[in-house]
Amino acid sequence: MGYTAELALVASGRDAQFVWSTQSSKLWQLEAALGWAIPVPVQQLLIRAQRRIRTQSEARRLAAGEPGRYSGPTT
Amino acid sequence: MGDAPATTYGRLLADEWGVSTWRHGDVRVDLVDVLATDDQADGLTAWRIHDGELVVFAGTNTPGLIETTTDTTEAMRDVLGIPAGLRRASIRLTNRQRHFVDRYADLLEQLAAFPARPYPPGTRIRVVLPDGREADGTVLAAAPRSGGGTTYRWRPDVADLPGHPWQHQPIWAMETTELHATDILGSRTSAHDESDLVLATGAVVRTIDDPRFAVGTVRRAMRSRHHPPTYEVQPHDAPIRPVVLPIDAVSPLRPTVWPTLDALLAARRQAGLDLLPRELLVTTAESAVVVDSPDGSRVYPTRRASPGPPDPTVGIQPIAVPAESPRLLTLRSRTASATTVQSVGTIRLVRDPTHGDLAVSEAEFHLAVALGPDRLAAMLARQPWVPLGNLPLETTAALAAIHVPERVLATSLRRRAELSSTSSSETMAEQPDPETCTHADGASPPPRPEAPPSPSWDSEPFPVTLRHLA
Repeated sequence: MGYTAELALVASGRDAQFVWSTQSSKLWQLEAALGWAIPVPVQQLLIRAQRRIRTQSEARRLAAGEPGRYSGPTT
Repeated sequence: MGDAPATTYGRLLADEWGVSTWRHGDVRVDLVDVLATDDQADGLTAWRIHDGELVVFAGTNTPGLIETTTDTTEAMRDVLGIPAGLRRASIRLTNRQRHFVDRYADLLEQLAAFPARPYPPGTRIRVVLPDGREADGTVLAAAPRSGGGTTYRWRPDVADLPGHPWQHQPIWAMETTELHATDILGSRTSAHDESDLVLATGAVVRTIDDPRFAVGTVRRAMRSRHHPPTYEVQPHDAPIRPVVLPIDAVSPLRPTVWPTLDALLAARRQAGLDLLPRELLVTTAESAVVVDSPDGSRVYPTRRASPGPPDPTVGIQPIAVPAESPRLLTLRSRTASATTVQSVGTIRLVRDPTHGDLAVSEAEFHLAVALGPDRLAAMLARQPWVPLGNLPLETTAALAAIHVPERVLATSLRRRAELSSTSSSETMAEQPDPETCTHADGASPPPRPEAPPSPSWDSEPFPVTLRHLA
């Protein structure tokens, strides 16, 4: 799971046209790939959103009886 | 963003909690505090390395030191070593990163090295003042002290801010010892501490989100009855006349430190910048507001102002260092990147390592260049908040076209008239140039303060160290 940045051109009455995109697993890699700073409040929001998505998908997997990707130490 | 009201990219960046900034030419490194949140108990420090306006490398927490220390200099030293470290580790880089590493990795590592002792001229230091406060500055000279130790002659950063009595005396310095000075990398980012600070004439500001321009000089601060105060700002990087912005639409790059109302008013008179009703006048000692009256505008002192950054020069007799020392440092800093000039349509863009991007119309630029460096310097000297020094003609011309466009135009027209009349009558004696001789009101321009007499320095001549930085 990672982050995707997309650059789209939007014209009235037409669908957005995606002209560039990049994907990184870390936000700081995304910043370097974009060349633009991602403001810290936005980073925190994205990190929280990613955690929420991860937790929800983990919960769905557990509910379906599938093993999680990491189930903690097993002794 | 979430439940928060809509905001802009520039506002979000401006609201970041900057800790420290380091610059060399086009390279800028920022350390930013990531404050603790609900799901992140400990605060982190984010860092970014910029090449011009673009982010080249970024991260949260530098490996190693920053996790164990709150010393921003150590953290900065760590970040500056990252490009070279990545190259040594053969980490895969993007094209932009590889290009940056090729150009700067060795230089950044060299500039981040621990300075020699005694500190050579140019070393950035933080000095503990007698009252316990701290001030940052630059070593101009060092000398051994009798009985051991080193005495430094250093210039505090505040001395170079607009309005400071030392601003145009680059050889003025003060003394400290090795016991009170520590080398630093980077400058404190103070925009947050000064977000509610009202700036005065001469402050340089960066706009938060203005599509027209990014950097400008404050001409006036205005009070409003029902709204926040505003600034009248002369843009630097767009060829437009002054614009009015709310004070929260800009952040200070170089705040003003006018010592008194008298000093600020004298500078305003010298520049021919009229006082307007509702204007706010802010100095480090006092504030005032301009009110309209039947007798014209009047200045009413209102309250003591906030003291601003610590000023260790107050009450100190300056000590002169040899002129070569600051001159050499200026030259060295300017070699980080040279001034470039380019035409963009009808605009002439001068990119200066000291003054940043200066955009003026081609026509005004050519008029200014034709006046020559001496006339331009004389015009700009009437705006004592504009830092000058030994600048290229293109930079001086652009500064004149930005800050004194009416004088550039008037002098150009007068010169043309003189030249045409001279060509028609070769016997006419050359008239003195009023621009370089007198004020607009006919009075001679006030002399800038002279350097103080050279102090007696123990019993031996002062051995100025002028070694290059390691």
